[in-house]
Order: sequence, then structure tokens, then C-alpha cells
Amino acid sequence: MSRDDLLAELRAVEARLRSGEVQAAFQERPAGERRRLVTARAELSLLVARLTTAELESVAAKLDELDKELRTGIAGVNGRLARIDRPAAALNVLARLLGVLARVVVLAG
Amino acid sequence: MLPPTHRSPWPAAVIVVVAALATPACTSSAPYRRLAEAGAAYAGAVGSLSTAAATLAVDGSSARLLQDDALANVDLQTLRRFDEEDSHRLAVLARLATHARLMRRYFSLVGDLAAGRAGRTTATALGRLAAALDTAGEALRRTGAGAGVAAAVGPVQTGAGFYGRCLARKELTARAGTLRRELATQTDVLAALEQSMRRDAELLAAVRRQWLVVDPLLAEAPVADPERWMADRRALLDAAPALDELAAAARAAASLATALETLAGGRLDLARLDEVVTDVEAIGAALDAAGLRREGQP
Repeated sequence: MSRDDLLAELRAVEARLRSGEVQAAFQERPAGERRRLVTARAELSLLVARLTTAELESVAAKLDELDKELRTGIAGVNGRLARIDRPAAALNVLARLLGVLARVVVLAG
Repeated sequence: MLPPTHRSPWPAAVIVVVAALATPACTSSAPYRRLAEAGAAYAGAVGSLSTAAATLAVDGSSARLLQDDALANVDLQTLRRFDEEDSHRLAVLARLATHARLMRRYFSLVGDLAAGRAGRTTATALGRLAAALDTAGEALRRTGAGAGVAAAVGPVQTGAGFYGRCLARKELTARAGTLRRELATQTDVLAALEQSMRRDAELLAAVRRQWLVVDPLLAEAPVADPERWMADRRALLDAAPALDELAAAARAAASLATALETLAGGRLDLARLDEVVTDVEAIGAALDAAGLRREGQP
């Protein structure tokens, strides 16, 4: 997976997390879960934005190193989003993906 | 040996001068004017694109914050982190815009040369601009994969009128390597920019659609302003396919670079210039359809 492909997939994950479907599903959830989603989603948006800016500066050189791990993370989030009836499980997978992404951003920056 | 009646009445030196002036490079300045116009139009489009990308990036962040706030109150620290990220992006885009402005000014001056409107001040300005372009391009390349190569060419000595027109070719040929390298850098940046703009625009459109179209329609009360609701829905649907045309920017940069390459090879490829103009028009149409072109922008 190229750097561009990876960023495109992360953007797709963010787009799904910010879709009307996810927004509506969480509107009915307890305040604690809504808070967790908002925190994690904002974190993902900021990380993707940082990677995008880094790409514009063409410095995200070591992205490939965590390629496989990220692939797994993305697949996990997408799988959970496909079964939005379990929002809490989706949040757990998202939290794991964010952990990997945070390391990517450190390397890219 | 020719008989005396067949000897040319012109001295040999005059024949050489006339032959030199009659070379294809100097017989018509029209192709170089077209190249200069295409270059200026391209650079203008890149400038507009940079501005639009900045608008999209900031508005996209705002939409995300508002979307999050609708689910759980966003705190000040999160807002500040988005502010910081946007400021960083704006700084990168400002560098691209500066580069585009310099390039536009450069091609405008080459157009002056080709049209015979130039004097010595234009030549000096061209030399300074080419050096500034190289510096700005270096700033873009510095962190990137492309290696920076210093290539500022000294100012071209010029006169006016016919001789000045001939110098448009000389100037472009001398600077072709520098310009091609700048365009190669821009091709990469523009391809990345297109992706980020598309992402921001799509997210923004999705959030706007939710606010302006879905929520009012699904609410129990009838839509308060049906005309406005219809216009919003139409505008959002119209904007979506226009985003595909943002890819025209990277194509235009590549076509312009190829045209300059053919110039260096001694034969300017006018078809490439037509492609540049077509792509520049596509960029303008896309920005218009997405409501992202500011008044007065090319």
C-alpha cells in the first residue's frame, strides 16, 4: 500500500465516522459513549489533517513501516462500522487504530 | 564560378544578418505569446486553487467541530488543536500561493517580451523573478523528495520591438529547465492538494447536507423555507461531480512542463498548450461549481 493509498483509506474511515448514519446512531447513545466517540473522532481528524499537511510538504517518509498494522486497524474499524449496532465495540477498535496512528504521526513529523 | 550577371548585389554580411532574422524563431512571436498566456493562466489557477484549499481546510475543520459539538460539548483545548493544525496547513498553502504569484508574474513578463512591449526593465525584472521563483520552488522542494538544484539564469539583455519579441523564445529556452523543475514540484504538490481538497469538500458537503437538507426534511415540522431548501439541495448535488475536475491542476502542470520540454527540443508543442488552457478552464469551472472562486480571481 502506497502512502497515498494509506492516506486515502484513513480519509475514508474518517468520512464514515462522520457520516450521517454514525452521527444518528450515537445520538441515541448514553453521554459517556457520545463523549468517547467525539474525543476519538476529533483525534482521528486531527491526525489525518496532520498527515495530509505532512504529505503536502512531502515529509511523511516512514509511513510504510507501520503499513501492515495500519491496514489491520483500518479493516477492523471498517468491519465494526459495518455493524453499527454495537457502537461500544466500534469505539474500542477505533481507540486501537488511533494508538497506531499516533506513532505514525510521530514518525512522519 | 558564377557569371558576373548572377552575382548577388548584396554584401555577404547583409545576407547573414537577414538570414539570421528570418529564422523560424523570430518570424512569429505568436507561439511564445500562447505559451506565456498558458503559463500565466496556469499559475493563476494554482493561486486560486491554493486559496480555495485554504478555505476548504478551515471550513472543513469548523464543520467537524460543530458536528462533534452536536454530540458532546467540545472543549477549548480541542478547538485550539484544530486552530493549530489549520494554521500549519495555511502556512504551507501560502507558500504554494506565493510560488504561483511569482510564476504568473514571470509568464506575464514573457508575454510582454513576445508582444514586443518589453524594454530593459522587463529583462531585469525577468532575471530577478526567475531567481525568486527558484528560491520559492526550493522552499517547496526542501522537505520533499525532489532534490533542489540551483538554476537561476542571469538576466537577458534585451531591446524593444522586433528584437524584443525574438527574446521571448530566448528567455523561455534559457529558463526551460528551471521552469520544468518547478512544474514537476508543483505536479506532486497539486496531486496531494487535490486529495486533501476532495476530502475536505466531501466532508463539508456531507455535514452541510445533514444540516441543510436532511435535518429540516426529517423534522416533524414542515420545511420552513422550501425555496431555500431546494436551492441548498441543488447546490450540494451540483458541487459533488465538480470535485473530479480538481485533478486538472496536476494535469495542467504536467502539460505545461511537456510544452516547455518540446520548446527546449526546438519545436513548441502547441497542442500541449491547448491542453493547459482546457485544464485551467476546468479548474475555474470546478471552483465556481463548488462556490470556491473569489471575485477577481482568475
